[in-house]
Amino acid sequence: MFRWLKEAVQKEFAPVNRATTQLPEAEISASLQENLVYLRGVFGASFDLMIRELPINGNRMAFVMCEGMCDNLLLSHIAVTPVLRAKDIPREPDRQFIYLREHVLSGTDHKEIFTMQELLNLIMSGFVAILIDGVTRCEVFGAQGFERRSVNDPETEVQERGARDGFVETLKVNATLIRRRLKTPFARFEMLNMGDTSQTMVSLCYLADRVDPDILEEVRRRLQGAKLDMVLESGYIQPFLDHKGLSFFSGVGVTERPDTLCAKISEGRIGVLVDGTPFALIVPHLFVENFQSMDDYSNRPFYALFLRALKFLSFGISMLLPGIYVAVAIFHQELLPASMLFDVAVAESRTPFPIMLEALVIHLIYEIMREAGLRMPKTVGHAVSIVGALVIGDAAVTAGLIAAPMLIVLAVTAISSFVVPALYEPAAVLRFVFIVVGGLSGLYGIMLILGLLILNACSINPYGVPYSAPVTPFEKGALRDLVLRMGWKQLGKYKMQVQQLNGSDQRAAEDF
Amino acid sequence: MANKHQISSTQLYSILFVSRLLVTLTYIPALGEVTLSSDLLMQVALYPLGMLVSALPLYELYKVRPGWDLFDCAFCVSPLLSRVLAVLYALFFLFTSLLSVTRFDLFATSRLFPDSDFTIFLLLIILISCSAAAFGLEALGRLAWLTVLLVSITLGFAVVVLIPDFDVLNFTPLFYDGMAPVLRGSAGFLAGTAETAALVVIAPRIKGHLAKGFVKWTLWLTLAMGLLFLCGIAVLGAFFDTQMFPFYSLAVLGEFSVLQRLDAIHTGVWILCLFVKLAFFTYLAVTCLRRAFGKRLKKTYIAGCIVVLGTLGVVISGGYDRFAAIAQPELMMALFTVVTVAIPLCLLPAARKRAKKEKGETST
Repeated sequence: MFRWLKEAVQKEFAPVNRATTQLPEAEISASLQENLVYLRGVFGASFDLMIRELPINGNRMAFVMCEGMCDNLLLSHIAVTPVLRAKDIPREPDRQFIYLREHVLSGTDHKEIFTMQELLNLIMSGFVAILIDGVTRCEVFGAQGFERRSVNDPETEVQERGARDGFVETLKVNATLIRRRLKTPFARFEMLNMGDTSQTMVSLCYLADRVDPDILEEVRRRLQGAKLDMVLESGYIQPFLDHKGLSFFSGVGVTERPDTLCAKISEGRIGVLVDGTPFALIVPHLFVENFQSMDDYSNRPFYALFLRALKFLSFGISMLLPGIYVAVAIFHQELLPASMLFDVAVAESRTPFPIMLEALVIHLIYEIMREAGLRMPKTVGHAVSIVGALVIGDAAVTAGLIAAPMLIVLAVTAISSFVVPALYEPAAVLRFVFIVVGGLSGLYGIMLILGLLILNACSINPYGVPYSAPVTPFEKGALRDLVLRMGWKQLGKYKMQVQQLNGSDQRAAEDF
Repeated sequence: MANKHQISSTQLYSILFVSRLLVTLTYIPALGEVTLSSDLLMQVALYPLGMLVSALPLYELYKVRPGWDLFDCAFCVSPLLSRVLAVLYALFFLFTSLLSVTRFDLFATSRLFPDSDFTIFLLLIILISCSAAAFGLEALGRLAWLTVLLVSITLGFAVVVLIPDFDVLNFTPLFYDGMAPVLRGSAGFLAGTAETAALVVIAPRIKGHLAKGFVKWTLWLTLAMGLLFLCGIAVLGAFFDTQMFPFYSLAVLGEFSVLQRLDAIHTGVWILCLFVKLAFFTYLAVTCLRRAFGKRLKKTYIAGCIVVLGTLGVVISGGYDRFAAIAQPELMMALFTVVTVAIPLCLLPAARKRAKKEKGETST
């Protein structure tokens, strides 16, 4: 029905043809001079191309690298000094190449390459390339020395117990953090480059003996089919891994913790690491996993149960409380106890705005303050606290602009939303939807929209696994780790594989 | 890889449970046969018997070739018959949706918003619920299972809360007016169970034991209905028959600690059940239309159902008389008999003959 509209929009926003930034494939020439001219031509006026030419036994060679990407001291120690001091270097260029590679250059990370494209990628990743006149190949070796952040406590996923190391921006360091925890040869790291210009390294990590080959192939296919110019963050590729169709919920998980990622891939999932960002993606991701954390598995079961129940409750509060308050205050006052009803009525009668508008405005102001607090420099952070607490909180109530019960609702909602940070985005937006719906049609409208929302969540099947699993379709075995988290003596016997959940493509919905 | 388009019998019967319970939650005594309290309970007790017997033709048809639905069986007679039946069942499912919509309108205008115009909200419910059919049967099944959990919790809570108000004196002697009204009333309950006809379309898509699931569904439904009627009669007594929606009145009376008037919870749960039912029956109607006219125009069929339901809903809503005109027990019984019993029974010989012929061909 709306095909004409869709076509018009697509036509309007069709990609503009622009000159390709892809360099043509070029082989490494036998002439050193030609290679260096090519490289200088490609880099243009950029200062960071460094070339150090050296004579070797009647021939010429060159070290090629990017300024700032390499550790000069390391380079000098493992390559330049040994080359300068090397004796008995053969005269023939090809034999010189082999001699340098096998007898002179130390270091472990070596690779032989034949194309300029690969050479450029590697030197821009911190490798050093050796070109010898008369040889149509090149040896690259790792001497990375660029500034990198040290492994620290992850900022977005704070745990009481559990490791204090989180992912960093360097992909290889992240891979190491995973490898340290999964000392199995089945832990695989597949590399690919994404982004026509950025050529960002992306790694798929999985356990080969547990992953579903169909899901793995699907992930590969989606990533290889993603046409992007730049990939600067894992969020760029997340939509390509996510399910089609509109939904507030995502079938792709995000984590900054290596222990979480290891736990997930041990269940047959696939992790996606992206160079340049500490946020790894996990597929497939289920709804209930938003309420799980490493602390649940470190604490004792009774406390883990308490925490999980608290998280489910907090999510419900953060999404529904303002809407329910508005609905009850306008349409269903009979639900409130008499004394509470009088207090709310007196407080609201003093404000000039309708309850729905009041709720919308105050929640919007809260979101503005939250966003401001996130972006502003730390030095002026105190000002936000003062403005938020005193001016908006106290002064607004004293002036009669906002009712005190509404502020209490806002405060409880705001605090609850931070209990489940993974679902902050949908909760923040849906809150406004439910306020409007509750204000216009009461609890009945809220139930209707809630039904639609749950149905939408139930219709998602990331990589053939129901997003609402293991709650529905119900998986009896999963009760061990749903709200209740059984002790490790029982949990250790249960090996879950996400692709084997009830209702997945491998196992169509069964009765329980 | 397992068949993607199958759902478990638990999921299907969850949908059917929610759908049928919806009717019970807005039971209108004036449309029923029996007025005496204990006889109402007896009606409920006889209900499962009627369900099992009336489902036999469908079950026999299903046994002939489990991968076939009723339209495949009709195809054995003639392709035109298959299309005609598909249209007929589509209309039946739409009619069932219309009944639910008008029942809801009656409930809302008489109890929820007596002073307001409810048309906009009615149209909104139709629009949202029928559009939800586009999500598919599997998603509906998953939602329905969650709804069953919620309904069970609220029902259990309601029963516990109302137990202190039970009065044994509210129960009348059994069969005080004879057996006939009880049997007629039980038949009336049966006629209100359009869900059995849904198996006509859905049966091939069920993974699991169809008959076992049906029996379980019937028993759980009977238990839920029995509990509801028990609470209603035990608390309200003779007052039960004088109310248009006695279970709503029951919820009004319920209180727990500082919480009073649990009718908002009752209505909230009811709306969720209505959402599932409308989405499901729209899905069934669309499936039938796709069988009749081609599979490509799914969204158009859904839009058509929304328009038809919306128009008829607005026309018929607005009072008890109009609702009673389309919800007459005789009409409901006739429809039920035709779609659930007569048509499957008529198609049974042709389907058996065809299956025998195919079996003979494969063995040679």
